[in-house]
This record gives sequence, C-alpha cells and structure tokens, in this order.
Amino acid sequence: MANKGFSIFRVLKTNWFLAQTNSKRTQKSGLKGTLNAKTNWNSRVQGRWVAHTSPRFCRDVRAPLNSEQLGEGMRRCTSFAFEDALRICALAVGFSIVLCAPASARMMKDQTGRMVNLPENPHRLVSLAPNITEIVYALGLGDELVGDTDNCDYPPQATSKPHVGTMVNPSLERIVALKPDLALGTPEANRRETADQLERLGIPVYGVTASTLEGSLASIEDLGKVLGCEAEAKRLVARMQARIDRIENRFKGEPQPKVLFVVWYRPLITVGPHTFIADVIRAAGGVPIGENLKGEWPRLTLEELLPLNPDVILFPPSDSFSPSLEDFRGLPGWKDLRGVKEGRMYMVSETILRVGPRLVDALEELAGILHPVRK
Amino acid sequence: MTFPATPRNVILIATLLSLLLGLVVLVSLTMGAVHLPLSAVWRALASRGGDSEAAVIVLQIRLPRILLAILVGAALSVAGTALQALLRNPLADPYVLGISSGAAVGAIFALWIGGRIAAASPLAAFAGAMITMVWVYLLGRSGGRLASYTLILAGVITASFLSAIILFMLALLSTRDVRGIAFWLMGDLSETPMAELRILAPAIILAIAGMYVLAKDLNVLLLGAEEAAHLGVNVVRVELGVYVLASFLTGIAVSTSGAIGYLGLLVPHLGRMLVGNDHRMLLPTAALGGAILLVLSDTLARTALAPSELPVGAVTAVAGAPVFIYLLRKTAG
Repeated sequence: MANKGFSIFRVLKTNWFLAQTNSKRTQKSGLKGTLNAKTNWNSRVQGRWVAHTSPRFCRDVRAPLNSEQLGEGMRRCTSFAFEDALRICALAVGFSIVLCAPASARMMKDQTGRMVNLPENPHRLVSLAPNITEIVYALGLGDELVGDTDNCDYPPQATSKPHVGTMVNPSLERIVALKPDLALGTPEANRRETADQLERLGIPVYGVTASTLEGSLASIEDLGKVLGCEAEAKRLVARMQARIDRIENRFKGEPQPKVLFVVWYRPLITVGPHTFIADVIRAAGGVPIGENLKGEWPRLTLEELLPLNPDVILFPPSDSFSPSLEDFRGLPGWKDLRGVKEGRMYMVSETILRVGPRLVDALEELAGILHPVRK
Repeated sequence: MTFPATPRNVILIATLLSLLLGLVVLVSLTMGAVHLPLSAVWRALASRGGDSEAAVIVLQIRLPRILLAILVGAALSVAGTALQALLRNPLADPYVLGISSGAAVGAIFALWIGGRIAAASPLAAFAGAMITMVWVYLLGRSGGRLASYTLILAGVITASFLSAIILFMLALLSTRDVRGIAFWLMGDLSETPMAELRILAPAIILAIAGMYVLAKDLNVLLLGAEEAAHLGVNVVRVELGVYVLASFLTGIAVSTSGAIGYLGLLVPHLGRMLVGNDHRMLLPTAALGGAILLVLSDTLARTALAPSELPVGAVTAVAGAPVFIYLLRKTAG
C-alpha cells in the first residue's frame, strides 16, 4: 500500500523534473536519488499501463499509449497506471474541496474591516441588532429575515420573527437552528466574541457600522450590495438624501443652538463629537456641546457643564429614565442652564438611536425642535 | 460521614461520582435553547460529525461548554481544597490570593493594547495570574516558608490593589471592550473552542494529579507546620508545591472562563461532609463534585431564561450562597 502511494509522488515529482530539464546530463543528475525501487517498477511494467519515471525505463521500454518523446532536448514519459490516475483525480478533487470555499462565495471586507466569506446570494438572514432589522425591511428583504433579536421592534412584523436573544448575548444554538446563510451585526451592539463564535460554527458574519449621517447612508448602500438589492438600496438612499438636503436648505441661515444630548444624568454622560448622534444634531442645524470631548460617551461634571450652557437639552426615550423633565429644574446647577430656564428640554423618539432609514425621521424631528419658529 | 481512605474506597467513590458525572453530561447535552430529543443527541454523538444542525449544536456548541465546565469545576474545587489546607482556613477560596484579579488585569491589559494581543487575551490573563502568583509568594513568605498568616495578608492586599487597577482600567476602556470584560468578570464558559480544550485538559489533569501526589502531606500539614516537620514532612517543599499547583489551576480556570465564584469555597466543604477530611479521598471527590456542580450550573444558566443566558458566576453565587448559609448554621449548631 505504501509503495503505491509513494509511486504517485514519484510520478509527479519526476515528471516535473523531466519537464524542467532539456539536456541529457541534467536529466540524469536531476533524477539521481529520487528513484530506487527498481523491483517495483519491473513488476509494474509487466503487461500494464506503467508509470515510467526513470529515464532508463523511458529509453528502454516502449510503453503503450501515453509516453511521448518531445523534440530534441526534452524527454517526457507520461503514462500512468489506471489506479494511479484514479488516485490523482481523488487528490485533485480533495484539494479543490479543501481549498475552494463553497461554490460561489467570495472573501470581502465588511464595514468594520474584517474579512468575511460572503455567500453569493444570501437568502436566509439573521439580524443581530434592531437597526439592521429596520434596514433589511426597508430594502424589501423582510421575507429573507429568519431571525432577529428580542429588541427588534420596528417594523411591527419584526416582532413576530423567531428571536435569537439579546444583542449582547444571543443564543448560538437558536442561530444555528435557523440555518442562516449570513448573520448581520454591528460592533456598536454586538460583541466581537459573538462574531468569532458564529464564524467558527460556519456562519459568516457581516459587520455594519457608521459614525456619521453620511456614513449611515453609505452603509445602507453597501448592505444593499451585499444582499443583492443594490438598486433598491440606491433608491432608498436617494430618498433619504433628498430629505436631508431639504432640511439643510430650509434652516440654512438660522442661528445654531447649543445642544446637550443627555445619555444619562448621574453621572452626566453625553455623546462625543464623533458619534452619529452628534452628526445628526449638526445636520439639524445645532451645535453639540463639547467639541473637544474625547470618546463616544464622555462624562461631564457639573462644573464642566455650566460654562458650556446649552440652549436645548435632549433626552432619549427610556422607560427607566425616571426623573421627569420637571425634576431637572430643581437640580442644583441644572437650573442655571439656559436650556432649563427657557424650558427647552425635550424627549426625543428612539429613532435617533437607530442607525438606519429612520435616522432621517429623527433628523426632521430634531430640526423641528431646534428651530421652532419656522415650521 | 468518614470513609477510611483505603484505595478501594477511593476507587469506589471516584467511580460512583464519574458515573454521576457521565449522566449529568448526557442530560445537559439534551438541554439548551433549542429543544433536541435524546435520539438526535445520540445520533450526533455517534456519528461524530456531519452538518445537520443538531450535530453542530451538540458537538460544537454544547459539548465544548460542558467539557470546559468539567475541567474548570474540577480545577477550582481542587485549588480551593488545597488552599484551605495550606492556609488552614475554611474560608479560603482560590481567589483569596489575588490570582483571579491578576488574570483580570492581564485580560483587560490585552484588550487595552488591542489588536492581535487582544485576541490572545486568555494567554495574557494566564500571564497575569502567574505574575501575581510569583509576586504574592515573594511578598508572603517569611523565614523561607509560606506562613499562612503572612501569605493570606499578602494575597488580600494584592487582590484589593489589583481590583483598584481593574476599576481604573475599566474607566479608560471604550464601552465595547467594557462589555466584553463584564462577561468575563461574570464567568463565561462559552468561548473556548475544542482546539483550546485539547491543550487545557492535559494541563489541568496533570496539575490535579500532582496535587493528589501531595495529598498525604496535605493531611499532615493540617496539623500545623511544626508538627508536620516533626513528622517528617518537607514542609517548605510541600507548601511551595501546593501553592504553585493551586495557583496554576486557578490561573488556567480563570483565564479561560472568567471569575466563577463560590465553587472553590463550597465544594471542599460539601466534599468534607460527604467523605471526611482525608485528602486522599477528598481531592477526587472535590474534583468530580466540582465538575458535576459546574455542569449543572452552566446548564441552568443556559436554559433558565432561554434564549438569553445568565452568567455562570451569577448562578453559582445564587445557588451557592444559600448552601453556604445552611452549612454555616449546621456546623455552628
């Protein structure tokens, strides 16, 4: 058995040698030491298709069909025993199965810079974040969504899809049981470990991310390309861009109020200048306070807040956000802020937290809040 | 209940507990966020592969978790037993000497640096644990040996210092990384692939075997260092050996699965209630008992609120605290 296997490699190696050399001398020396089992070759020569690997054999034995003598410098013997041919075919098939990804897949960089093995035509999708669910539905691919998270509540049909758990800790078992072609996640909500685990289980994970309004439009278009509905994505983005341009033109010359977006009030956490929320505020004609704050969710102390003196204070919607807007008037330090004194404290809808098609709704809502006179 | 620690008894208890462990493992393989009947589980185990989703769920999601739970449960319980003997203190647990805080610092440090090092955070955590082990040893030895008094103090001081460092680093990390670390700090058995288990299993088994070799000496050490020395035990070497092995076991357990509490504290006591104080019986009992308990806790964590998962550390704490209170009342009389 071992001898047969050995013969394959010798056939391959020595044929390569033979093909490379074109002089008798190099032929001989090139093959020195690669052949030694003469007895084997003798027995295989008898009456069968034979692999002639030694130039000695090539010169001596006239093998049937396959051996050739090419030109002057090159001698090549290329007859194979039938079993060897079968084995080579098996090796080739095996290699191609190992080396090639499943038919029609491609390696692409996702929006977070990871290399992903994308299927050509994904039609079973799992969404790991609510904004991705919204984008998928907006692209008209709601039927291809086979699973989403517990928090996916828009559009209403999304709540009836099978749930795979929370964004931070989805159930791998549920995801595997849904047999998806592709999982869509975002580093803002999902952990890298989840993506790694899903990749290990054979489910590719495409990461979606955006930190500006422009970026969110680009990410929707990119996702459309990945999911095979580029045209629809372009149309959606064009509609969104039109609405954004309309807002910008309407409030072009207006004064820009300073806006404080309160993520949490004790300690006071606001949004950094490079987040998409800050970008939406800017697009709505406001100035997010603290242009030199670092990080995504910087913390502000009261003494840092007072000199910044925001004109408008925005709160995200939250059932757990217990103090009412009225309570803030009584808080020390807060009551001296212009925004509190003038009563310009508003609770915005959750659309501002979803980086998706409804971000433009949030933009229009914000623009209405920041510029109440011209409506 | 006290069994004399004859080889026959040891083998008997070990076999009984191993059978129980096997049963628990089989039951746990059938439980999870996706309902799989026993036949599907059998088929998946027997065929050892295939692409059906049952096979993927059983072999690639549940089985590595359960195997890791066995290894970590055994490691922490044995470390806890050994440290309780070394420090002659029934309240000692594997984390009292700061090993878990050292591992957490290592993991957070790796995340902070980011990039490729972040991907190898279990290694960084293990390095942190080993550095802490050496540090606490150097700090806690007195007169050339590990006196329990100074060792505990050195360990507690180091643990608090490192916890402060952890909080400091958490404040500086970005939110995404903090989320990852939070899972680590609560205990997470789901992130170790089979390939890593192939390295972990021999390491943990060898360390537990090494501890078992020292079991007889641990018994004598309980009498006190001087008495043990009079009885011919090489106290310095045994103490060092027990310390290194216990820290190694804790370090490995914590680097791969985070800080799972109460196991190292409770299982030795439960084992003592079952088989008595002789470490030749107690160590195998604690190892297998810890494995069984952690597999059960992990199964509960996976299934109680499916598809969400509770952190394993929370389940062991919630289950462990009442058990501990009960034990305390029972022994207090």
